[in-house]
Amino acid sequence: MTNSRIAEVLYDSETMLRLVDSELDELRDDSREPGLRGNNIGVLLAAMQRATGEIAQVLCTLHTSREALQGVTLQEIHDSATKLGEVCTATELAATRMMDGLERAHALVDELDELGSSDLDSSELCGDRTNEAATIRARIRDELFAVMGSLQFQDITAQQLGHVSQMLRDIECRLQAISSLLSGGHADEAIMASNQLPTFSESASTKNSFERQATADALFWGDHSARVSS
Amino acid sequence: MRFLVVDDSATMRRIVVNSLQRVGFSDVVEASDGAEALEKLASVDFVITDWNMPKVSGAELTRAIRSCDETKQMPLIMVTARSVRDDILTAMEAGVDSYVVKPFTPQVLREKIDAVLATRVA
Repeated sequence: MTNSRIAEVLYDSETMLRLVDSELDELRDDSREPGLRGNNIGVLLAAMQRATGEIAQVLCTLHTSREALQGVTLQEIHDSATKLGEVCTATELAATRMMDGLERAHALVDELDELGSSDLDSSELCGDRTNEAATIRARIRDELFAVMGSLQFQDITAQQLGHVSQMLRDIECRLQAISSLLSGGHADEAIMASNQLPTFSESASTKNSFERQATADALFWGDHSARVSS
Repeated sequence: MRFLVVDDSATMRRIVVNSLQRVGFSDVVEASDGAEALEKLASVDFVITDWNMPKVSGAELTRAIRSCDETKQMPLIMVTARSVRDDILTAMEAGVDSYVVKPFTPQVLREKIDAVLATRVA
């Protein structure tokens, strides 16, 4: 529900309550006039029925708006919790990958050490060892580079946290708006605060990167040839 | 060939720069957002940009590059965490030559660079 809609609903509700209040005042004033006592029970009854209907309408409106607010806010809290769960998983996964890679690199360094400490019996063996050492060094580089690649989780989780931050700010703004409206104030400050947000992508994820790349490739290269040739 | 890597995340810039070096491109300059990238365009041959950035986004940077006679043919790849269909289509409309979804590998980056350069030669 937008802030303007909340204001509209609350304005309508307040107007109806004022009408009910006015009707009740009228009834009270009428009841003090001797001429109206006793002979206008029917009028009083009708007025009370009307008042009851209006109160029911106000309650219904408030109920609807409460449900809408509750629905949106609960969904945002649920989405925030889901995103935070993804951040935890991505962080854990990246840390595990990096640790695995570093352990493998460490083992490769041990292999290099062993290779360096063994005695040489012939020039042929020396050549073999040089080749083996080069292979191990290349594998170490691969492992270290894979560790570096795993660090991309930082950018992605930062965006996921940015998304959570925005949802929390939205909830805060909505609550501030309701609070301001109920106390007769304005929601401008809350709305202004919601504009100062970090940059992020809602779809940022460390999951299914191959599938997502394939989707991009299908869209891009499927159409790219036509675009280049046009 | 000189590359311009544009990303507001310093970590991501380092990862992209190292990935480029890994696949054989060592001449790289960096920019932390689209506005800074626009100032460095004259000295580069290929742009690799993130999408979500403060001041000037990757999509805005692409449109700016494509709207200028001096730079409209500049090869440009978007490297981004955005991967929903509408985002990819928006990038295409902006004029991006290819699209790499984060997290990526140096091999994927190389593949896209080669493909873009091949279209330029053709």
